[in-house]
Amino acid sequence: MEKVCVFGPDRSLVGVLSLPEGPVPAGRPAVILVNGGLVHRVGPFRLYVDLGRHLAETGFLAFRFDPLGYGDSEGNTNGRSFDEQVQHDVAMAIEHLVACHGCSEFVLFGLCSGADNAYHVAVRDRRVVGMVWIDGFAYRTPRYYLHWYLPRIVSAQKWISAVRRLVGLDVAKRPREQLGDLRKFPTRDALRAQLKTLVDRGCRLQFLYTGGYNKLYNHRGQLREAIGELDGRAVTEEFYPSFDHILTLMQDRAAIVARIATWTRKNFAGGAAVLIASATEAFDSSLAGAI
Amino acid sequence: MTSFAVPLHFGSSERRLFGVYHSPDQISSDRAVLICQPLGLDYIRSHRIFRRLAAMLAKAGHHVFRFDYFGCGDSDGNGDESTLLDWLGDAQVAAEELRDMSGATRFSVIGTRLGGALATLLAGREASLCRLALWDPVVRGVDYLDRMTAVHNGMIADRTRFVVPRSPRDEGHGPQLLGFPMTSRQRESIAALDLNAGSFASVGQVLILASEDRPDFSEYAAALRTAGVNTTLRHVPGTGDWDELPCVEQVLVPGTILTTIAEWILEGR
Repeated sequence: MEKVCVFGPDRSLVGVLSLPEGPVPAGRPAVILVNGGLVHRVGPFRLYVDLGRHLAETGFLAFRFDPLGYGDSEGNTNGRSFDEQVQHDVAMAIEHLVACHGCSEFVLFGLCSGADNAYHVAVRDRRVVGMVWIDGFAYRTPRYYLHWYLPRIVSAQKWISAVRRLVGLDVAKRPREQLGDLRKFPTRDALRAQLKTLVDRGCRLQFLYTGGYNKLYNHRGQLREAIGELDGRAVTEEFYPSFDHILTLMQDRAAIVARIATWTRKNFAGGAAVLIASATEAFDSSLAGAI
Repeated sequence: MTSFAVPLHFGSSERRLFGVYHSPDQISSDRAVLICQPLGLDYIRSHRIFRRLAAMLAKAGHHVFRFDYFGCGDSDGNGDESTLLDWLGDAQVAAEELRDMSGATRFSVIGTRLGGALATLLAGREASLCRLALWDPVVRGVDYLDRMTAVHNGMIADRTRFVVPRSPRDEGHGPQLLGFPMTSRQRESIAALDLNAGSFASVGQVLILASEDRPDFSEYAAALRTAGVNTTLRHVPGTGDWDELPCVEQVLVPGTILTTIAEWILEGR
C-alpha cells in the first residue's frame, strides 16, 4: 500500500510512503530513501520504488521524496546548493514522519550523493539509528593501487593499447569523469571520528560498494582499510564487484534490495524478524559467494 | 488564482495509477492536455521535461494531467505485468480522470516515444481531440526494439560500467531491456506496433517532432496527410538522444523541445 504525501513549507515537497499491510510493529524505525543526482524519487531504474515496497512488505515504513526544485517538488530553493537542499528536505521529511505518522527513529538510505547527504543528516540528528549507503565515501589505499595497476601490468592488451597510443595509432581515450569529482568527501580523520560518534550512540551502518565505482573503490574491506576498524557488530562493509554503479540489471537490484531488507530486519526488527527473514536466507547465502 | 499541482492516485484498486494534475490559472478553462510519458529508461530521463511542460501549459490556462503507467514510476505493480494494450487502457483511464477533474471539452494529447505511440492509439479511440503532439513517437515497434536491444548490448559490454564482464544473456531475473523487464508478451505486443498500419485518428491537427531526420517519421507524416489529417513534421535536432549509449544515464534537460511543444499546443487556443 502506498500513499502520496505533500509536506514541508507551503506543502511543496512531494513524497510517497510505502506502508506495511498491518500496523508497523512498535520500535521499528522508518526508512527514508535519500535522492541522489537529478533522477526523481523513483530512483535509477525504479530502485527506490522496489526498495521501499520490499521494506514495507517486511514490516517497515519507507519514504521516498523529491527535494525542492527536483522531481515533482516545485519551489524556490533560496539559493541552496543541491546538497544543502537535500539535507534540508530530509530533515523536513523526518519532521513530517514524526508529526503525521508517529515515527520516532529513522534509517537513512542513499546511493552516491544521496549517501553523502544521508551521512550529513545522520551526524546531526540523533533520531537517525541506521544508515545504508551504496557507493558512498571512499578513499584510495595502497592496496587500491595494487588492485588497479596489477591487472594492467600483466595484461598484454593493455600494453598493446599503450604502445598504440604512444606511436599515435590510437588517440588516448578521455577518462570518464570520476564519480567523486563532483562530491565533497570529508577527510579520512573526520569521517573516522564522525562514524565512531554514530556507532557510539548506537547507530548501525551498512556500507555497500559496486564494481562500477572502481575509480575510487575496488576491493573488499577498502573503507575499513582507509579509516581503520570500527565496531564490527555495528558496521557492515560489502563489495559487489560485478554490479555497475546505478544497478542497471534487474538481478543486481533484486540482490541489493534483498540484502538491505535482510540487514534492516536483522538490526531493527528484533527476534520477531527471524521467521520473516528465513525466506531470503538461502538467497543471501548464495549471493555471499559472489562477493 | 495561480496554477498548482496535485499528485494523486487514481484508477481501480487492482490497477492503481499515479498521476499529477496541474490546475490552470483560470479554473473555468475549457482546455485540457493529457501527457503520455514514455516508458522505461526514456521515462526516467524525461521526467523533468514533462513536469516543466505541464507547469508551463497550466500557467497558460490548460488543465494538464501526466501519469505513470501501471508498473512504471510511482504507479502500483511491477514492470513485467502489462502489455502495450494494457498501457493503452491506462492512458484511457487517465483521459477519463482528466475529463472528470477538469470538465474540459477541448482535449489535446502529448506523447513521446512509446508514449507517442500510445497517444496516437488513444487518439483513435477518442472522439474529439483537438491536437496531438508527438515527440519522437515509436512508429514501428520492431525498429524500436532493435535499437533498444543494440543499446542494451552495448551497455552490458561496456567495461567502464561493468568491470567484471556480464553476458547479455545473463537474465537471472527474467528477460530485460535497458534495466527494465521485457517479457516475451511485452516484446510481442510492442513488435506488433505499426502506426502506419493503423486507422488514422480523427484529430484536428498533428505535430510530429523528430530529433533525427529518419524516414519512418516522414513516412508516417505523409500517411497522415494522405488520410486527410492536418500534419506538421518538424525537425528539432539535438532534443532526443534516446539510442545513444553514452547518454543513457543522463537526465534530459528542458530546452527547445519544451517551448516547441508548448507553443504549438497554445496556438490551438
